Parts: sequence; C-alpha cells; structure tokens
Amino acid sequence: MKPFVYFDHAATTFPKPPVVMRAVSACLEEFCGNPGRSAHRIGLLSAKRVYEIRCQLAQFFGLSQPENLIFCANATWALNLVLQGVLHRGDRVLVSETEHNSVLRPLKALESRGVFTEVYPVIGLNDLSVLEEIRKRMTPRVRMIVANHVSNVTGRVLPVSNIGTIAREHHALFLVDGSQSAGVYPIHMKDMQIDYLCLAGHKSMFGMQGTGLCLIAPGAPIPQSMAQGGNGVLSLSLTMPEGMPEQFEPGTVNVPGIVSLGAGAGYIRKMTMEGIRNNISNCSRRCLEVLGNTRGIHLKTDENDENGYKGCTSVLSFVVEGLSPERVAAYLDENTICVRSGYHCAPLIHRSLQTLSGGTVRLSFSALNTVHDAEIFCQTIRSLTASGNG
Amino acid sequence: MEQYIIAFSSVTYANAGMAVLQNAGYPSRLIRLEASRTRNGCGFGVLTSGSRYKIRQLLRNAGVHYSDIFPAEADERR
Repeated sequence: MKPFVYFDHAATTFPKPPVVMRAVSACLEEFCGNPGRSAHRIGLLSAKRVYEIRCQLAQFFGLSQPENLIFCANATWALNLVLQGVLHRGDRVLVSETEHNSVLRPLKALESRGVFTEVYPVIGLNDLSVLEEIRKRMTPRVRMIVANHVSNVTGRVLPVSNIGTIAREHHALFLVDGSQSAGVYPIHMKDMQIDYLCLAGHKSMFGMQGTGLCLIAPGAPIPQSMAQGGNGVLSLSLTMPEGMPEQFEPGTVNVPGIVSLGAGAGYIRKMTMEGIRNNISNCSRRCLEVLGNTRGIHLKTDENDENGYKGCTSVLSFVVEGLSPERVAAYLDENTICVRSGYHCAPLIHRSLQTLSGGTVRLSFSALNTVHDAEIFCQTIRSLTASGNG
Repeated sequence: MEQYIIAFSSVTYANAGMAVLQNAGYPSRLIRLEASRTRNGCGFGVLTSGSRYKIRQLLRNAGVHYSDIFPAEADERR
C-alpha cells in the first residue's frame, strides 16, 4: 500500500500501536477461551485477564469499584444503556449542542416515553458562559445533564468538572460522553463528579472496533438492563441474575477487544496523556496555521479556554469556498490523505457553525501522527486552493 | 489446614475475591462450583485454605460480596 497520512482518528484510530497488535495476537494464540463459562485452564485464564483489565481500566478512569465497569460493544450501546435504563417519564435532560447522535437519537426516542430534552449552547461561548447557560436551565425537573467532553466536530473541550459541580448542587445525574476525550484528556470520575462515563474503545484508547465502556459511579442509579441472556451463572434460572457487571454483559464478551483496550491503556500510560497532547498539538497547530492563512478556507473551530487546554485540539473542521466537503475529502484521498467529510453524526452543531449546507471537512489527530504528516496535508491543501477548485 | 470453597454470584466477584485472598498470602484458585453447591445451576467459586474467620474478614473489608463459604469436600480439594 502507498504511504498515507491518516487524519481520521476521531472515527477510529489507525493503525493501532504495535503493542496493541501484539497483545491481541497473544490473546488469540494463548488464552482466548470463553471467560466465565468453562472451568478449564484456558477459560479461567481468559476470565482472569478480563478481570485484570476491568480493574486496570476502572483505575484509569478514577472508578473505585471495578465491577461497575461494563464492557459494551461501543459507546452508542453504552450511552443507550444509561439513557434508556435510567430516565423515566417526566424527567428533563440537558444536553450540549455538540452532542453526537448516539446521545440525541436515544433521547429523541425517549420523547415518546415522556422524557424531555433541552439543549444548552456551546459554540462561540467561553467556558464560564457555557456554565451560566447550564445554570439558568437547572430546575427541579432536570434529572440529568449530558456533556460531550470533546466535540467530534470542533475538538472543543467542555469543562466537565464544573458541570459536575452544577449537577451535584442541583441533585441531578451527570453523564459524560468521553468517546473523543478518553486517552487524550484526563478523566477521573470521582474528582469530576461524573455519575456515568460512556466511551468508545476504538478511538483514542487504541482498542479494537467493537469495544466500548460504560462506567457507573458508586451510588448512581443502576440502569434497567436492555438485554438478557446467558452469562455463565445460575443457568437454571430464566431470570437474568442481578449483580454488576454480568447483569449488563449477556453473552460472550469480546475478549480480544478487551485485551486491546488493556494494551491501549498501557500504551497511553507509557506515552503519558501530556505527551500525547503535545504530539497532537504539534500537528494541529501547523494545520491550523496554514488553514487559517489560506484564502478561501474557513476554519470551523471553537476555542478551548479556561480548562487549561488552550491551543490544543485533537479535532478541527474547515470548509473550502466553492467546494463541497465531500469533494475536498475526495481530493485529499486521491493524494493519500484520509480525512472525514460531512456532518459527523452531530446534527445540532452545524446550525451554530453555519455548515448546514454540507457539513465540514474534519481532521483528527492521534499520538501516532507526526509533524511531517501535517506538512504533507498543508502542501496538499495549498495545491487544492491554488489550482482553483481542484 | 482446612480448605474452604467460597461461592460468588459471578466470575467477576470470584476473581475479585481470589485477588484479595492471594494478596493476603492465601493460596487460592478459581473453580467452577458443583451443581449441588448452587441453587440454580452454574456458578464460580474460589478454593482456598486458612482461617474461615480471617477469610470472611478479608473479603468483608475489601467489599467483595460472596454468597456462601463452606468446607471443601475431599473430592473438591483438587
């Protein structure tokens, strides 16, 4: 395959770090039995490894009870579990305008069950203003605040610690979608007063596709299960046994995927999140500089401010005058640069960004990108604009 | 030394219990429970040896819930 530049890590990080590939390969070769089912050495080894990684990941996210970490198929499944399993008729939910459809669509479906959603603005506001917008919407009917920690369109980092404080003050539950932030920005459930943390494993956690996590803080309401099935215990009972986490993990869990997540978390720990952010910033800064100074290109970013991450963005969007985002992405692909175009499954944000007519071109970076990648992109985008619409 | 089987509600809790006991120096092993040991079929436990009182105390202090603890029969002491 020709060398390529991959700037689509917000969709899925690719390729995975070698340590992740080696760990998955070792799992498939050495201990990938069915965990929690058979009692032979391979089955027990598999169960032990799954438990160790559950503990490792719980600690990674500041969750004191590893059994409250549920392995899911992806972030969407995790978010559905919380939203559909916790909210009831009459509940009101506050969501940011940067939310993904993995939050907005379940909430839309819940409307028919009497759950109301209200959106708080983010775009163009600094953190203090965002917090003020949330505060003024807080009523006793608000049961939950949802925050997309990092926007998958602009890279905006929401001040989740402060939002957690507001939720506590008003006795509301706090759900954080950490799909774009996990592995890049620190998340500590206890310190940030997060009740539910849902995230994808295949993005900046460097796990495989088909992995996601739902973490539930001690004391937060346990959702109602969405699915039932075998889980290796009390097989003669037709009722799904209660108890965390197996109550929410019917069927065989994705052992190679879980192993990939454990290895990904280990890689992040070794690299350090600060090191990862520095690497990302070096790439994004160069791209922002060129995009911001090229005639006919309009950046669609949203400045990060008081939360200490000013100048760092793992995701950025732009549009090119006279060219659809699809055409720009196709041109970049022809030149071996992989990016995403369109609406990025985030329908509300485009009104504020004024990109409803076609969405944006999105660049997203990871620890594996280099400044050289950014230079290749910059040369290519300059050649596109210089050639007059490619 | 007396050997015991601790029954847990899930393989996760069984692993958690085993980790607590092993960290405290108790030789422990994850096992699948005999059908006669569970009320509704299929379950996991930990085979260990030591003071029953101390085993209970360790698990309680660590917040690891178990459903039962009983002396291992001769054929269970593998």
